Amino acid sequence: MAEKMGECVLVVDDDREIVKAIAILLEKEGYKVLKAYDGLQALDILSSEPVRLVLIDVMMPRLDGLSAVMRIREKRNLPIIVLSAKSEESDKVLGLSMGADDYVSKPYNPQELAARVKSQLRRYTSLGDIHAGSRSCEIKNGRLLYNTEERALYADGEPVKLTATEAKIVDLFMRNLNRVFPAEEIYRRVWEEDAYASENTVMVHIRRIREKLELNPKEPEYIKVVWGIGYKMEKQEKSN
Amino acid sequence: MDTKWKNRKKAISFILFFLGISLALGSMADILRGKPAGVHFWQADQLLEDDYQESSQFRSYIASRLENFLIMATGGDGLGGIWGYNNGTYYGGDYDGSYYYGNYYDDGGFYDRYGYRGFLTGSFAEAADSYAADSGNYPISAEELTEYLENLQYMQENYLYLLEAMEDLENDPEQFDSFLSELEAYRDEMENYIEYMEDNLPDRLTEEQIKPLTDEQKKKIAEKYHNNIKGDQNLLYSILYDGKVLYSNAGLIPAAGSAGGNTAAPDGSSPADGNSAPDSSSPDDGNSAPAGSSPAGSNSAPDGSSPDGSNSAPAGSSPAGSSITASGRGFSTAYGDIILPEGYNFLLYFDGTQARILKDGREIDVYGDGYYREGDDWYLPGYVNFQADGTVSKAAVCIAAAQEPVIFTQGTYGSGGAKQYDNPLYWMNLNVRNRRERLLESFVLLAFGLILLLFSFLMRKSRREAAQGIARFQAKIWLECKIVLLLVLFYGLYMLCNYSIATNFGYGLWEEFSYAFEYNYDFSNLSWFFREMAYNIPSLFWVLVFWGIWLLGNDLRYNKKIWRFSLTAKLSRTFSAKSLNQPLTRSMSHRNLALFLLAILYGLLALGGIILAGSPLRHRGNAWVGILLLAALGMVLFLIFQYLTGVKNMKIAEDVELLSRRITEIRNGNYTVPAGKGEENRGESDPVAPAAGHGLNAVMTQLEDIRHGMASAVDEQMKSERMKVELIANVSHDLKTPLTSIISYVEFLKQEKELPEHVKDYVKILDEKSQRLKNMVTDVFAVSKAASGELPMQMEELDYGKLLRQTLADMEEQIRNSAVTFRTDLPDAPVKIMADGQRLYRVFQNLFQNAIQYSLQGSRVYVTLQTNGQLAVASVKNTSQLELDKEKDFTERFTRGDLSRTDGGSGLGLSIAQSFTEACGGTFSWETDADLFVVKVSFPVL
Repeated sequence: MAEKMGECVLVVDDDREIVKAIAILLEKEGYKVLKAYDGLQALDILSSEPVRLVLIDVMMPRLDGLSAVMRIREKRNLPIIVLSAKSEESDKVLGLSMGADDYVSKPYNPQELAARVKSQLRRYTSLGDIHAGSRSCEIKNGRLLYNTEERALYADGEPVKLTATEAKIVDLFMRNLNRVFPAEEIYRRVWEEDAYASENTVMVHIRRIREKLELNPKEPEYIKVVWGIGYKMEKQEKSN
Repeated sequence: MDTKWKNRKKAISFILFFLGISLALGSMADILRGKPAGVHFWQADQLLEDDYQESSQFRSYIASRLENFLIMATGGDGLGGIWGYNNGTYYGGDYDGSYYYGNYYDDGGFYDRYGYRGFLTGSFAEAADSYAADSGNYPISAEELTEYLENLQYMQENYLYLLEAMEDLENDPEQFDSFLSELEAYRDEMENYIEYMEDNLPDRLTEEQIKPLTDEQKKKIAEKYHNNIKGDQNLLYSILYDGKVLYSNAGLIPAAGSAGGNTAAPDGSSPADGNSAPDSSSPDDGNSAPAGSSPAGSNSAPDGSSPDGSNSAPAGSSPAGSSITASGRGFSTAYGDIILPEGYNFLLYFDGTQARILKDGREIDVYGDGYYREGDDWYLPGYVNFQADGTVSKAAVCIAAAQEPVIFTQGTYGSGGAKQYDNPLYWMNLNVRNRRERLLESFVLLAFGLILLLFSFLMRKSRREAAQGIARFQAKIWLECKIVLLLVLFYGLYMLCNYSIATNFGYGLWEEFSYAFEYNYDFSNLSWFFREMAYNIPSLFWVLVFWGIWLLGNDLRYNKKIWRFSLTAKLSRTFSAKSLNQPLTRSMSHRNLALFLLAILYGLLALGGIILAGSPLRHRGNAWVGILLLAALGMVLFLIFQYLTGVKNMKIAEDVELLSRRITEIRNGNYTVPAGKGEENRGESDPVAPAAGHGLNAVMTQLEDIRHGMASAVDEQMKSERMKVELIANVSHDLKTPLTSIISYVEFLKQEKELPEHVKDYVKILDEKSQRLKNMVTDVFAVSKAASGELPMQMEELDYGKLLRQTLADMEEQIRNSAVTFRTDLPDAPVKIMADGQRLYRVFQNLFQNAIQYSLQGSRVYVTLQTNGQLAVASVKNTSQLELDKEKDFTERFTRGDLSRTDGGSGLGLSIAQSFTEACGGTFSWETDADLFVVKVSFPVL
């Protein structure tokens, strides 16, 4: 916790109570929090303070969040998490295409929000430097990095501890991003037996893997169920 | 076996019925046709009479003979009528124009102006010549006529020559004019000639031009008549006048025996000289007689009469007042005893005032009470109301008829071949015999037919079944065939009637009717027509007519709506079925064309019918032509009218099609297309105002109004729908912002360690309620979007069974922690459907959550998937914890099993499930059975 001290996060929302709540949440995690209540204010602070990450609401007076994101992106390359009451898929896509790195819809889950902030900061600071030139044996997907030789998975640069079976499943998924595997196939390839009551077994393992690498296991971003067909590892659009 | 016997019984009963009816009807018709006139059907004894002398025909024959003999005796006028037909019996004789007067008519081609050459050389001049010689008062003589006609020919030749010459004279107007005037003069002269001849050559003799017959001529006729019939020894006669035998072919009357014997000599040649019988009486008495009389077997009669006859009775004794007594073999009269010769059993003696008849040795009461009435047997003078005059009282006639008439033939080879006498009695007898045989036959057949009918009546049940069977067969025949067959039958009837009338009367039925109409005589007099029909149409035909009518009745009785199965109906059905798929105008034009062609066909048929039926009227000239022209005109007018209507209909059809197209557009949701844009082919139409102008303007305008109204209404609705979604989105957004704060701070409160216990409880409640509020806000948003159809869907092919398994696996933890057990019955084989997997997952997630939440503790939830090849039905069955309200709609928003709303659900679970299912194209249904709650989600199988 101590090493994060001093990392400056700018929280922008026109609702002061929310800003305060986020500030409390993040300060507990050891971040230094700067507050702004509209887009222009945020831009001002950004120009003067050494901000490392921006959490910004969409609907705000004077300058709305998405416009502010565009303005920030003109000058700075720093992680931006958009926070919005609009939970539609289209809103999410719009936010991401405007230059945001992540999208969290209100009402947010405090733990998830904290995890996302942490994830973004880690990727921005450590990953960006250490793994600047990715090697051929490494597969990158969003905040995940998989080394096929070592059979090691890193989330936000930190190694994820997996059991042997989980590792096999992850190996299958990471090597075949976006490919949909029916439960039977996963079972056959991982357990190397004929599939029997595979759905539940596979699902149990997938749930465990999700808990290890997803920020919010209830709303997974990486390992997804393709209903009525199978499971897949979704390739993330933003993999900086 | 049983049905076989039944079928056989049916067949037998019907055959019995068929034969019975045919025989009875045919024989009845035969009897009616064969029975002698005036005898009723039930007078069997008279029908089966085999004695020809008992027939009315015989009686009237004898009566007419007596009349003729009396004319001959008294030298009266009127024998002319004897040649030819009398009483329906042809008894010979040539048409003797030289003595028989009548209308002499011959136009001889006289009116044919170029046919007069034939006149000059041909027969007319001769005919006119002989006619003139006969009548003596012909207006112009044949010589005169010939002269006139020669002149005429000469003039015509000149005329034609001048005409030819004129062609060369065109350049010389003066001569041309003179020729022309000459020609005109010729022409006038020729016309005068022709006019003169027309005036003077009568085409018809007037009453005055006919001279009465002279006594000489009358005698000649009488002798000719006598010569014609005397050889027929079936009828013996003696005609006396003033005690003298004038004509006789047998010495029936003894007093005149000497004279009578002479005349009996059928010399053949003797009549030609025109001498009367008395002259040739003396020379050859005995020798000549046998030649003619011997075949009859009554040869003894002429000779035998004189010896045994008590010729004591003097010829001179006055016949008047003398008593006539009848004995078994004859009469004793004033002229002596008349004895019926051997082989003869009928004797009539007329003494000048009254007739007495002896038949089969018994005398017949001729006069009854002495008054003649219609229908009396004998039409002879002697009744009180039918007296002969004074001249007749001097005459006496005796007639005898043979019991068994034979054919008499005279070999007159000197004058060319054998000559058979007319022998009317022989033929009469033969006819009676034949008729009797035929009638007997018919009666036997009638009886047989009636017996068969009785049998078929006893088997009437089977017969009815057989009739039904025939009706079933009939139902398979096109109505048109039946109609044609029936028409053929009736046309045959009509033709036979017409034929019989035409052959008997020389003209047809229509003429008869037209005459009846024209001369205004009572139509009831046409009743003979039906008699004629009965006599002249073969009985087989009546049987045919009966069966035709019976079949028709049978058809109508057992087959409902016989017109349904007809060629026309079939054609029209296929036609209309075809036209269903065609645009209105085309089907309409087809229908119009069909109607038009049909009208032509029916018009031609009607015209043909008029021509055929009215053909006998053809000779009526102008009237006939007029009727034909009227019919043709009517048809043409009808066709024109139909064409015009058709054209108008087509225009209307076009408009209606336009209208329907526009309605379809509106129905398809195209409210914005302005009128007239829909049809490119009518470019001239105004895009705003409706193009239709044939009575549909008002409708078009109204439709435009409706379109405008609907467009604005739809716009309005879209706007309000958008507003609703926007409102809900805004509201949920506005709700989410404070909710975020609440959840955040509740989270902080939860992390506070030093709170008192009761405050911790408060915080826990706050946490639960804030979570529920969060869920509700999310669900409300989802439901409103789904309901307004704005939910984006990603349809893909997926395995229904797998989806259910995945959902169950996904919720495994939740299920394991619940108080209910899930039982599944899902097929291993993939069940492919088309749906949005994410949404469908939500559906079953909600359903399972629902089941977990509201099921009775410890009960089981059954999840099954069944497919019938077309539809895949997933069902979730659970036993409710609380009593279910039957009337409640569980999918209504905010409806839950309990009304207190104390649990964590948003109350939108089933509503979302239903909305999402329907958005995916599936069917969502639920039902309750006591505490059992069943939800079914079905999708069509790919």
